[in-house]
Amino acid sequence: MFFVIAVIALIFLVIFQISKAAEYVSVLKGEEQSRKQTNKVNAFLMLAFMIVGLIGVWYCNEILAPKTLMPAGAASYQGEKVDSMLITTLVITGVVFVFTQIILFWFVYKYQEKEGKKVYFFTHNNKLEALWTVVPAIFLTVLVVIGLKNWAYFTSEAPADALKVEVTGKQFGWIFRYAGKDGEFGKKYYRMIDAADNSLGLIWKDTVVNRANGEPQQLKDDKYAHDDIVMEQTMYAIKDKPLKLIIGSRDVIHDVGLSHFRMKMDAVPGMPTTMWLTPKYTTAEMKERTGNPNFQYEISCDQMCGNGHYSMKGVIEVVTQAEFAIWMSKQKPKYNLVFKIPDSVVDTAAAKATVDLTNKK
Amino acid sequence: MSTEAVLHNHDAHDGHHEHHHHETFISKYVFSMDHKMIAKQFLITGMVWAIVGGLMSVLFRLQLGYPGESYPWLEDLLGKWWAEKGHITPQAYYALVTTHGTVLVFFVLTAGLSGTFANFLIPLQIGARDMASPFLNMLSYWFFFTAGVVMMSSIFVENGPFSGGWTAYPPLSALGDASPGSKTGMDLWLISMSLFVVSSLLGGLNYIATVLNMRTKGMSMTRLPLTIWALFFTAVLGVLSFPVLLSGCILLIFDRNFGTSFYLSDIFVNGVGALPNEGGSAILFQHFISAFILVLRSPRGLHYLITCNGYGK
Repeated sequence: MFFVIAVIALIFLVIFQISKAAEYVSVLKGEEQSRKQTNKVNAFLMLAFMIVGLIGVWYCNEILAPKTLMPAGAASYQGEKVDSMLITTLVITGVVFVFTQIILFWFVYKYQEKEGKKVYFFTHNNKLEALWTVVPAIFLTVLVVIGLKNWAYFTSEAPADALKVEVTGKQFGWIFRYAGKDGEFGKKYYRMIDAADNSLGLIWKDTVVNRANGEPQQLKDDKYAHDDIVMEQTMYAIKDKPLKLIIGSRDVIHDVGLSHFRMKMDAVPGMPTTMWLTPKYTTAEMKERTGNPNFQYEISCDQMCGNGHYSMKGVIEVVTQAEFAIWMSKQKPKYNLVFKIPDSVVDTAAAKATVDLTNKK
Repeated sequence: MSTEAVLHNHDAHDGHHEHHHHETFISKYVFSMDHKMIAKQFLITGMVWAIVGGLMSVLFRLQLGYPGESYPWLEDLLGKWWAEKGHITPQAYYALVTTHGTVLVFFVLTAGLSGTFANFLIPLQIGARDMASPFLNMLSYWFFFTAGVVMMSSIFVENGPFSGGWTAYPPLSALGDASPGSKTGMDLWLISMSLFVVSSLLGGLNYIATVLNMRTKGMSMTRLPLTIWALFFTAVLGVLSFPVLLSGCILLIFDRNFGTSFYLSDIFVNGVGALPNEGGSAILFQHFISAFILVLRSPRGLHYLITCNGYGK
């Protein structure tokens, strides 16, 4: 570290000495002569800067591109649309970038001050101004329209057969809820939250709570909440089956960042948000695709949420429909776990409910 | 009267004027009402903040770039809270990122650039002696300076400065229990921002009044240099957008201290329990600050674009 600082200081010293020497040389040569000389050197340096800069851009891309998530491809069908948008934007802006940079530096070199050459000024050119306003405007409009179309698609109503999972952010982790056998999410209320047993505040009993304005509010035990499956940190999804995420937060704003699927959505307390996606590869397939035996689909929190923000990692296990069915059959509703209700009782009750429903139909 | 005679007469008048106007060190360099001196004050303060903000980014990027390395001298230099065992601590990292962002966006890019160039160029390029109100101009700088002092002081409070990101989204910024940086550090951040907004409004109103009323004879609006048009436009947008930011900050102060629920709803804080607030909208503040950023910052880019394109004309 001290060595680096010493080297930087030395470089500054050398630059200072060179510029001082250059000043003395210019005094000896004469101001005008020296200025013209400097001008020539600067024009050449501009060209050199352009070449070194563009090679640098290409080189950085060569080195860093394999380290990004791009080579493995998007892991969801919706994510492919995001990648396509990104590539379209990069191609358009990339072409413009390279073209304008070359023109910029080349013109500085080509039109440097020379004996007998006079600068040509023109105050304005309507055609040129219209052209450089309209052309970028058209390109930007196209990019924005593609973006809006995709956004509307990702946040639209998910297909009816979608697997619904509620994702709740908290300091500092994720809580996932599946609707259970009845296929309906039970009601919850944040004042029913008990950090140890009822992390989402599911309404499991008749209660009266006092609201902020002092008025008592009657909360009724919601049967749908009894079979809801609640788990933390790891979530299961099915390959090729739409996955609808109902996103919320328990405390501050978090963000469900799914970089492998190329999706993200804010988790806002008091305001549920939704998006849907269809996983394309199972976790096992991704391990093969990436050549990484430890590969995991990751949920990162993409919104600064407090001192433990960096540690807020969740995992998504994408499995086949059959594997999911096996996994789900082993899960117990949170209600049963908390109130220590044996499985057989639940199964009987669920069977009875199913029979009742069938009879009603 | 020929132009030369007019100029000569003008010079003589200026000399006469200066002869009678004796200035002390304090009135010339400290509480100056001269637009050029105020521009220099903005420039120097902006540069100091750029260096401070830059050094902060060196510290957190040192941690980001070499997370496994330990630099014991950092603990000697900054203390345990910031760099225990030579690592930048998580709370210090977020505090540094937040203060760096705030300082760079508000104190360097907004006040440092606009304060310097508007003060220096507007009177010179429109042919005015000084700003419409030199006194307000002086106040504008000193409000900015005070905002800086308050921001700097927040670094030294017990729980550290605000650490929830420069956009200060509630509920994180509203709840001291959710983040230690949202305690005294956030109060100081809000006070600093409020002072800064006052400074920007005083400056902006002054620039607008000067451009509209104090142009020299023959300097019509259509003859104004593009730089002045850009600075004028920026000032108008600033006057429109800064009050929005101030309103957002005031509502946040209310939520923090007076039990209101503008931004708070359905919140359960670990170790505290469920809060009574219901019905607020956490993204209301995002709308406030987005309005501020979109309205003020995007045309600022345009301003530099126009200025650069207009340079050769």
